[in-house]
Amino acid sequence: MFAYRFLARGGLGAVNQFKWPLPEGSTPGAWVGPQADTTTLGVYAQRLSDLPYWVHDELYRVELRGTVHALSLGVLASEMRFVERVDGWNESLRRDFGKSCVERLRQCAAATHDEHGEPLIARCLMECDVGEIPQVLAATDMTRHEAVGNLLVQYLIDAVNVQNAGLTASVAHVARVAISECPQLAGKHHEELAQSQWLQHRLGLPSDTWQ
Amino acid sequence: MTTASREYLTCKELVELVTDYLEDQLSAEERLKFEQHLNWCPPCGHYLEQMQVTIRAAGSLTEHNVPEAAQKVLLEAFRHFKTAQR
Repeated sequence: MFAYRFLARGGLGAVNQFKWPLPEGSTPGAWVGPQADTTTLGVYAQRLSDLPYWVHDELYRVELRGTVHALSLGVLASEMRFVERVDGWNESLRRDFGKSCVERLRQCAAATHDEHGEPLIARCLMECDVGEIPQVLAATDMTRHEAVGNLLVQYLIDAVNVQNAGLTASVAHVARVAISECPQLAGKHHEELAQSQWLQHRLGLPSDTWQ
Repeated sequence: MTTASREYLTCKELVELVTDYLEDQLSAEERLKFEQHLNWCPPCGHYLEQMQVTIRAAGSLTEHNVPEAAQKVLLEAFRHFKTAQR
């Protein structure tokens, strides 16, 4: 059974800095049990649909064995080994992923304003440079605008700021929360799905086979 | 196979769970959500590091590490505390 796992730079666990045994050439790394995740429960891995929640420096394809449980944001297995690094995931693609999250959020914010009779705000949102959105909105006093969609604008500013700070996982989180909290977008846009589809497409990953 | 909902853990909830996390007392689902929160929230990551440092430092202290002068001040304070309670 195969899955994925994001790690910090150098093949380290993102939280506990455990040095995972990585693959060398075509030889997988050694099998590792729960101690690697500082728990007795098992080792954690991610399905394709979980990847947006765990964005980090390095991405690997992993093999699982033993008992495997599906959880809300990943899977838990008795043992895991690293099979290969997903080379397409690098700093450049990571930034592009963050940009794509900001861009979808901007489009949703603009569309929401447009639908509620505020085309000028919508046009302003779409015409400015993404990185300058916080300054542009502050200059137009739009952040104090009492309109439907204002919540999305606030989240959009947050998303741009964390993207400018290089915090890609935070950008993806802000985008997911923003869109899930906007009642006007209920059923129209599924950000989590958009994010995992973006990663699948750009990294050329096969579809999930998890049931 | 069903999975639990993808509800987010808030910073406040993480703070409440941090001791259970460090003692490996969380369920698999709770632990996953705890670590997912850490992945996007750098301030909570710093908080966890501070807790780990504090636990390590506190765990290595014995009464012999307390200077004699400080011991006297503390013992005196405790005596007065008891008197004040009455």
